Amino acid sequence: MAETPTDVANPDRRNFIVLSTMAMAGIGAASAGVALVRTMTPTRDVAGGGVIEVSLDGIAEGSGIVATVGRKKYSVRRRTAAEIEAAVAGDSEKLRHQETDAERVQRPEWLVLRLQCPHLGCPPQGTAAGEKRGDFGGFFCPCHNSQFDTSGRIRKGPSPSNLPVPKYFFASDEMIVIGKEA
Amino acid sequence: MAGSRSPFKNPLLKGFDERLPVLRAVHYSMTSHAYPKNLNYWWNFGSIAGIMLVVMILTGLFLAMHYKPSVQEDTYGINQAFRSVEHIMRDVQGGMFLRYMHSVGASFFFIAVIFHMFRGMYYGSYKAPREVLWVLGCVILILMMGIAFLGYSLVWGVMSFAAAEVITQVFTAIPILGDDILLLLRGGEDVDDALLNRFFALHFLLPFVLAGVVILHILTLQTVGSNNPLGIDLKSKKDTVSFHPYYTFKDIFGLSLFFTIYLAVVAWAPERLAEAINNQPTDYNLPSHIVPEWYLLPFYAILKVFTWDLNIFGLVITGKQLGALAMAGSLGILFLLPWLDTSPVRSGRFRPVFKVFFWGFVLCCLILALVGAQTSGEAFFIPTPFGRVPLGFEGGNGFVWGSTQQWGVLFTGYYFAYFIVILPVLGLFEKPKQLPASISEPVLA
Amino acid sequence: MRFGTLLKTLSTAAVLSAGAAATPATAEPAGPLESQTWSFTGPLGYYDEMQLQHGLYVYQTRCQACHSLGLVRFASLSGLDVSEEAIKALASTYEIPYINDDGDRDTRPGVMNDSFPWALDNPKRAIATYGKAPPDLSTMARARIGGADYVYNLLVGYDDAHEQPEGAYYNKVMKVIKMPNPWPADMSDFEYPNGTRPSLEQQARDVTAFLNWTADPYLEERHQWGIIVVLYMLALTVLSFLAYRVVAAKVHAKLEVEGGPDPEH
Repeated sequence: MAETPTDVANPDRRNFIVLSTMAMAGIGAASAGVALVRTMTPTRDVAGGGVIEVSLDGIAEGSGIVATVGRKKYSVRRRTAAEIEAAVAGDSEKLRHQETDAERVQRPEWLVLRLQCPHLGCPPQGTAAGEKRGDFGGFFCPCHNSQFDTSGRIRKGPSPSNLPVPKYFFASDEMIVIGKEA
Repeated sequence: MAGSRSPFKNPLLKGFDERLPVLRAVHYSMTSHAYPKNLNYWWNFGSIAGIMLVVMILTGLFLAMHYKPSVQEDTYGINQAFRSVEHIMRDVQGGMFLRYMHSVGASFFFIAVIFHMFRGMYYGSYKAPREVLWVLGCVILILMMGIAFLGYSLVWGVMSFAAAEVITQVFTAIPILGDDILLLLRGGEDVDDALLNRFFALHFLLPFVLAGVVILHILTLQTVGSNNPLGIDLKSKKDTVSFHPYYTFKDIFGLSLFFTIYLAVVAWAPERLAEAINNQPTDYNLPSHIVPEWYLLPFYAILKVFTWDLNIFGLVITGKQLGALAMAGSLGILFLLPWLDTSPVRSGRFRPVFKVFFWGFVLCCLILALVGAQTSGEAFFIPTPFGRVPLGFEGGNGFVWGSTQQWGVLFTGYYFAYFIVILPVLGLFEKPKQLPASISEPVLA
Repeated sequence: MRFGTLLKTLSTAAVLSAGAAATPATAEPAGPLESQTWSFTGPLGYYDEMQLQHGLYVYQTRCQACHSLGLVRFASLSGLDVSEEAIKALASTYEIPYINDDGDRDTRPGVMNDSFPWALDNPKRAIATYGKAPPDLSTMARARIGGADYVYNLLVGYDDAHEQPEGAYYNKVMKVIKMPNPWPADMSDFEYPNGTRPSLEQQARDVTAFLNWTADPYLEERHQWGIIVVLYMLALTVLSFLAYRVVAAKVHAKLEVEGGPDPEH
């Protein structure tokens, strides 16, 4: 490792080489780190999906069904005229999370919700007739007593916001597709 | 250096360091420990091995997030463990690189450690005062072999099963307790789900034990100091440099070169060092030709060449027990090396006769590796790029002269003789060349 | 939509080729393999997508009556440059066993996330009938010494003139093989979806390329990664060597003047 005349003549060049070596090694180490963490992203066989077709056939007025996609639960509920009226009446109340019923449904008869309480994630009851629906006739979360109206809006209890409405569309009068837009 | 003052100016660093002096320990070990200034490129392999351990632990951690240790088979006859490995290769983002970095990485970890050990053997790095350093290194080697074997089993391919079946069977060579140990290892009579699950648990845990021993290895190194190609002690400040920046940059260079080769193998020959048939899920039939991974071959050779029983005054040691004893002995004797070498001179550079026997020992390990890979009863050969060079032939009446087994016995003999006969005797009779006075004065004293 | 119609052409040839296959006791071929030139070998090796599509067609015609590709999801066929619609159509031609809502064993059309199914009903029946369950072919090209060359030589290695025990066949690569000759005597009518009429060797080459793809689907990605990574490592090697020399010069200069750390320390 003899000292060459160039090394002595250009002390600044030396530092440049040393620094670029360290920078280059750093870039390599950082890329390796990114690549390692990338292996934790969803794998190719689970990425995508999450779409389900739900037949509306046979759902009685005042009742509904729960559709499951993977681990997610959705409520598809057919509202009675009285329930729709109650929901629309609720528009003028002072709500914690202000939304009108018209913003939350595509067709007044059908209420489609993601069954996940915004408080801490429990699935609220009330989809099928006969389940506990709380003081407002909509949905009731058994974990911490959040009560939702017939539009799925929070009216009483700890939930900070309304039950979320998923992406969905009516493929026909008898069929909706949950998980994507038309 | 623990009693020294904090070297940091930054108040945050300084404050932390004054409460927990780990930063200063690292700082002083890099800047004020005396390292010989004349270490050659063979000394790069220590830090390369250390970095490979980090690479293996990191890739292993992320592999473990996807691996499933289960022998349950689906309708395709593919077990869940094998399927999860293929899932990593096919479905995990960047998973194929992760898996090959780990499987090829095991080989390159061994390559680094093997060079590191042969360097230590040539330059006498095991001699006083570095006995404990060497012994800890032997512990590292044995741990590595165990971890590698456990990891190889996890794939649950044809050869994984064969390896688990055969190697756990070796423990039955132990008298009286053997069968119970086997039952404990397998968690049942058969190599099955219980074994795979405990192998995974151990394969995850033991690398951290290994890392602990590596830290002790480095602490010992810092206490007794590094050996050097001349094998003589450091005499003055003219002989020394600090680790940083001189050896940091030398190691970065060596590491880069090593990684160039390692990553090229990952890209273009990731299966080259592995047994092809292990890419098929096991159907629990043993293949006719069972071989371990290349780095275990010399020890496997020593295990398998003993086929006869030994009768010592009525005490019968079976061939199987002899093999198991010899394999354990071939590793155990490494621990005794510091006390078996009687020469006062460390470096092989000044020992003309030792040099010959040392390179004979390297050759011996290569031959034993070939013995481990070939079929015992058949004629031994050396594979070359131009074809096989036979070292044995079929005699009359079915006897093979120069069979794999015969060559294996011969070189197993040399392996043990190197430690038990050659090194002790050589130290007494060999006339070493004259040593230089110090590293900075290569002129003879 | 070529692939949607592929299965319909599944001819009597597939039925003829149904039979047993054997797992060899070793990955080693019995004799020297005739080495072939493949597009996917070498540092820049790549797959010829047209060849892979032809190979898939041969697999469907001659292999899948007995064998499966249990690790190859239909969705991954996008690597063969097949459109998503075509893959969905292809997948739906397969019947995937499942347990229906009434709790009965049933079959449903395949979807993107299913793998190429096993045509034989269950492994036990296969063993009872053929003595050995035909192995899954997903990783086969990686599981034999010689890789693609092994598969190709085996496929073209049949010689029906050789005498063999009952239920076994002669093959240059595996002297006694339980897998029957997959090639019917008359293939003059066989043609690829694009209208070409491949020879037996051409079919063997194409299906071998396809099986190499099923065993190593990310080979091209790995080769490209290799080029980038090795160039980077070489650059770092050169740079770090220069940096080492720079540092060495400084350290040696300092050593002349004041020496290094005290060895007695």
